[in-house]
Amino acid sequence: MADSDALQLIAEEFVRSLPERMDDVDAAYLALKQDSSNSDLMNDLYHKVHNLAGSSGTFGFRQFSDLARTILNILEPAIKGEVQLDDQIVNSVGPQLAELAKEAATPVQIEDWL
Amino acid sequence: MADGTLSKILYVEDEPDIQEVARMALELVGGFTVTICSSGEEALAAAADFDPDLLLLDVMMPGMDGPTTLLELRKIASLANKPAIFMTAKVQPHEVAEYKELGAIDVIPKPFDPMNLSANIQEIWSANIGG
Repeated sequence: MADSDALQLIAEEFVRSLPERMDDVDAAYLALKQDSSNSDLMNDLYHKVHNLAGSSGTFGFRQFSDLARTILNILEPAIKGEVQLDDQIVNSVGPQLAELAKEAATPVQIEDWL
Repeated sequence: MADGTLSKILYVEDEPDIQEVARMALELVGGFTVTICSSGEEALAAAADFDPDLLLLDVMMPGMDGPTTLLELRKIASLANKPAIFMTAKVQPHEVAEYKELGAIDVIPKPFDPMNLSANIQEIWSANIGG
């Protein structure tokens, strides 16, 4: 098997795992919504989305990765301690998460990946 | 500072998907010998015995992040001067400058191209170390 074929198989496995991963992200978001000042819950959501952004980007799912990074950008000031996490920040993640879920249903891989 | 040929890479990355892709990219495509650690703590436990030529570290990891991991690895005498490269999506010029101030010879942007990762690392090695 060529190296590129093996890499593509890993990418396909990533796509198959996406529904479960999105469920994990949704659960982390719902937990944060119920306790929007909890920094541990914020970090948990951030890292789950960060991992999705990194993996999807590595596998060439650029649009998905960019959407995930939009969520990271919303949370980042609070992650860095520059602002206090509040309901407004947490609520603004919701629509972006909905967009991410749509993309997760049929993620598009860039043509020149590999 | 190390010199000579790049052969052994210690890679610290928490995300299993990226570990898998990077292992293929570095071992199969690049022909390097690679030890992958899922956390800074794991790297601290494994690094001295592995005796890598190069430290390759993800920046953003839960718990001990890449920069902190590098600082801790530097406290191990045999690793004090090992070349290090960070991997991160944050590659604005001021961010790259910060990573270099921490002792990295360069930064590889994420997401990386699996088929070119090894060549990219080799170029950085050659430009900074030789071999």
